[in-house]
Amino acid sequence: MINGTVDIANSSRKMKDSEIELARGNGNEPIEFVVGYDALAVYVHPDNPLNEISLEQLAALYGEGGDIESWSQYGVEVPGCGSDEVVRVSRQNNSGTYVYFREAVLGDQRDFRLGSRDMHGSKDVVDLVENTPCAIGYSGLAYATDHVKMPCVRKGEDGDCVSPSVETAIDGSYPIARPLFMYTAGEPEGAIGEYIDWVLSDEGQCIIYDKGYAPRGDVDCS
Amino acid sequence: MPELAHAADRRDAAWWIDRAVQILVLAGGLSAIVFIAGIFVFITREGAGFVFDRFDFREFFGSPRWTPTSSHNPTYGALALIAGTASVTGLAMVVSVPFSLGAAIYIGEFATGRVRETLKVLVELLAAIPSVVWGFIGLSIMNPLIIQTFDVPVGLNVLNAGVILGLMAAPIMTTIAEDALKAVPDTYREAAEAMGATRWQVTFKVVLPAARNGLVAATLLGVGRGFGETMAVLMASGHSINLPTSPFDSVRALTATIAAELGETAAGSDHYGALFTLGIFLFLVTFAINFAADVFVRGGQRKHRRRGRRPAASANP
Repeated sequence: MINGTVDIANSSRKMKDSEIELARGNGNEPIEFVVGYDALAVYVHPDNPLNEISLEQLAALYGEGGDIESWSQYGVEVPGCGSDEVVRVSRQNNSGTYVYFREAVLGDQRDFRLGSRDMHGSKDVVDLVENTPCAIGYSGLAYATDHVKMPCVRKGEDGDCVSPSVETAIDGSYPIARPLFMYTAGEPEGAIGEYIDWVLSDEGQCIIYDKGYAPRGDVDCS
Repeated sequence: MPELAHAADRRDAAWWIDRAVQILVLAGGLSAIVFIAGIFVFITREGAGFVFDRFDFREFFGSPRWTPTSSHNPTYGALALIAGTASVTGLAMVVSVPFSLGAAIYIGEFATGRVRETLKVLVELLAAIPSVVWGFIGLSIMNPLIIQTFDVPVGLNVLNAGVILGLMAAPIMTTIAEDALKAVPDTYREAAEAMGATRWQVTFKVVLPAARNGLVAATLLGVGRGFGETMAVLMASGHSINLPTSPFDSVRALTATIAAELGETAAGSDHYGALFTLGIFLFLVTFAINFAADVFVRGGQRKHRRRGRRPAASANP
């Protein structure tokens, strides 16, 4: 979209100011549309007894300078994970999921700790966690399968522990849910405008709901 | 005299076809040079900005910290990536050299008739499996297998990627090694058999030493293949920035880093330039490996010629 190759760009993070400048430099004024919301679920192996995790615990695991190395530090013993080591599964460093997780869990100024297994796709994260008892990972809720477990996430030690779901993403109670964007080069016209209108219509929003994402507002999809 | 030359100069259809085919073949030959030069110019140009402005030799080759998208302090240390590529390629060679040399010796020296032809076709078919399929095998079959067998926390590691890569490099190594064995003149074998040597003695004491250079070249080309492989390594190695201390550590390869990050990096940024600098480095290493392989192949050919034997027709792939 910045280079003018495509008309619509999907993104799971906001465009940076520098990127907007680049697009303007090429004569493309980016117009932003929020088309839905996505809860980032934390995934563990189904045999893992971990039922809840706090944002602080996640930060101590994924963040630079964090001190969590083993599952016993979380107070659980994971069957099939003899070494007790927590295998951190993350994403490649330019994915929107990676950037959002960093902002939401680690904060603006903190980097990820090196040494995580960086998968190249949302589905790969879930695939790996499914097959690896020691693993923990994060990925969009829409990639959940029956073979992984999603612990609930709490904000602060006393906060409510909220399970990831479309409903908790809509009402904003789930702490790591992010908006999903579509950017068009200039005000959408013609077929592009019709497509954006359709995505934002009840029909388009219900497809978003069916796929496991949260629609923008109240729609009746029954 | 001009009349005579004119008479010999018959520009009929056959002459034109001959001429056209010549030019076509020449263009085909030259295009390889043009492409390789073009690629080199392109990656150098894209990487040049980073190399001159931001590049820090000690950081690049001495630091394992590769954090190009850090919001406050991006670092570009490639040591862990280089170590990752080297460890995976090294293990791949440990796996594939015995396999492919064994296969080449069997196909070239022992197998006959239909068995030999079938094996050759199958080995070449192995080379046709797409690398993403190998990567998927690593991710979904080897990973649980390694976890269960060795009781390690995760199966995406040097061992997994090395075995996958070894299997991927084996076909090309087998084919080239077999060519090298075939290039050893039969007179060598006949002479050895005439002295009463057994087949094993002929193979190990005569044919293998005579084909040594070609076999080294085959190994080096396998190394080049391993060095440059991307998708399978990306999927099977764990893609984790680490200085490996055991085969069970996850690592990240140079090629995999480029593949994973280039697609979503803003063109012209430091990160973009750094990825192309990795590309320049990879290009130079692969070039050096292929050059060394070529030198070895030529060395082998010269040796056979000097001894007044039939020139090694097919040692050069």
